[in-house]
Formats: sequence, structure tokens, C-alpha cells
Amino acid sequence: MSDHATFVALAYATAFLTIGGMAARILLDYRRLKAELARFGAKGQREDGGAA
Amino acid sequence: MSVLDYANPTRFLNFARVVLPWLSGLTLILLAVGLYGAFAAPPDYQQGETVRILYIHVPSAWLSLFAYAVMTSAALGVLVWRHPLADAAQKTAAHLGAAFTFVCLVTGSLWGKPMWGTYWVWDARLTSMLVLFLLYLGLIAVRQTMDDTPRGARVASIMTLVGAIDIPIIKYSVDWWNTLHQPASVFRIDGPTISGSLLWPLLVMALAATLLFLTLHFMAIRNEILRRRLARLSQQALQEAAREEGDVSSSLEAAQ
Repeated sequence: MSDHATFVALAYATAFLTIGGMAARILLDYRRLKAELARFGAKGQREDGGAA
Repeated sequence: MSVLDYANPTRFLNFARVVLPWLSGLTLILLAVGLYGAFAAPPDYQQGETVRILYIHVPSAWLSLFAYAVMTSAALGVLVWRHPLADAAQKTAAHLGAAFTFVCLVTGSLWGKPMWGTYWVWDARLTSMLVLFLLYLGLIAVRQTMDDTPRGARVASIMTLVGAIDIPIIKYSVDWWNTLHQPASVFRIDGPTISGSLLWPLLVMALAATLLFLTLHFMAIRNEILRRRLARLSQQALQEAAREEGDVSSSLEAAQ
């Protein structure tokens, strides 16, 4: 690649880190929430269950 | 069943559970194809290899506007129907919109340095995009300071609707003012000005980015619904514990 390879690499790294970080945060948050809801015993609190 | 019937948190959770695996899979496939195309496409005759930055810059720019359009629709849902799902959609789209706008600004700067000789100029397109980023940050801050109160949702919705004025300004800034940023080159009445070999990876990347946004947005709305459910359960548990404590105290008093 040309002299500008650093700019291209930095641009892709920024995009992957930002959007990938956002996706990871959402996934980890989901796991935490599910675990905390399970702690409540969660009768009728399953995702497909009780009213929101 | 109409689309409006899904505007119920429990139905939405069922819908998300079915749709998300397919949506994530399709997003990954399209991202792989788009990235292959982005690096297999020939270099631009003027920009050289730097054109590859545009395969992420342009989709993230479109997505930053799309996220705001989603937020504006959800804000209407909050103000007109006071719908909890619209509130969750509006709240969660702000983080995604901010992320895509950040990517757009940074990748644009990284493209600008080798092409324009500068990372930043205060031209109308760049400045209005920066204003959009600040709007997203402001909306996130409002939500964080006002928690999940109905007042917080209303304030954020009004702020979103007022900020929507920035969207046409961003879109038409390159036509209304003399900017260093080039005018539209894909969505034009007389057709795209980009060669087909460079255009198809761009369109695939744009579609992949749109599906990625939808996937992450659905996941974030699901989290928001579960978070509110958890908050309500915690509050109920606290109230029950307090009531039980009160019953024990009154029994002891009666025994004495």
C-alpha cells in the first residue's frame, strides 16, 4: 500500500474499536442483566414472560 | 399483526429473540463481503489507496444521520403516545448515533490530512457534523442526569426535535455554502459520479452498516427493557422487605 497506509489503518482501527467496543458493551450488559434477573428467581420474569 | 402491535415491550423481546440471530448473521456476511470489496477494489486515480477510508467514512456518515432520524421518530412516539418502547428506542439510539458520528469525524479527518493537507477545516459540512456529535453527547448527558423519569424522556424528546434542524443543514450544507467537502456523489438526480468498481463495495458496506445499526439498536432496546424490569423488581423487593420488617415490629410490640 502507499504512503497513506497509516491513515487507512488508523481509520479502520478507529471504526472497529469504537463500534466493536459498543457491541461488546451491549453484549456484556445483556449478560449482566440476565444474571441479575435470574437472581430474583424470575418467575414470570423470563424474556418471553411477564409484562415489561 | 401490524407493526404497532410490536410496540409492546414483551412482544418486542419475543420479536428480538427471533430476529436478532438472523440479523447478526446477515450483518456479518455483508460486512465480510463489503470489506473484501473495499480492499479488492482498484485504487482511485486521484486519491490512490486513501479512497479505502471512504468505505467506512461514508456509511458511518449516513448512519449518524439515520440514527438521528430514528431518534426523531421515537421522540414523537414519546411526546404523542408516551410509549415506553419509543422512550427506550430514543434513549438507546443516542449512544449508537454518537459512536457512528465519532467514527465519521475521525475517519474524515484521517482522509482529509493526506487529501486536503489538513485534519480539520471549519467548513459547513464538517462543522454541522460536529454539532450533531455534540447534540448526541448532550442528549446522553440529559438522560444520565434525569434517569428514567417521564420528565427526562420529555426533555430529551423535545431536545431531539429541536436538534433535528441540523439534519437538513448537514445534508444540504455542501449545496448552500462553498465548502471544501465535496458535494453528494452517490444519491444524485443524474446518478452516481463514482465508478461501478468503487461503488458496489460502498453500497454493500452501507447496507452492512445499516444492518449493524439495527442489530445493535434492537440489542440495546432489549437491554433497556430488562434494565427497567430489574429496577422495578428491586424496588418491589425493597418494599416487601420493609413491609415484612414492619409486620415483625408490630408483632413484637403486640407481644410486649
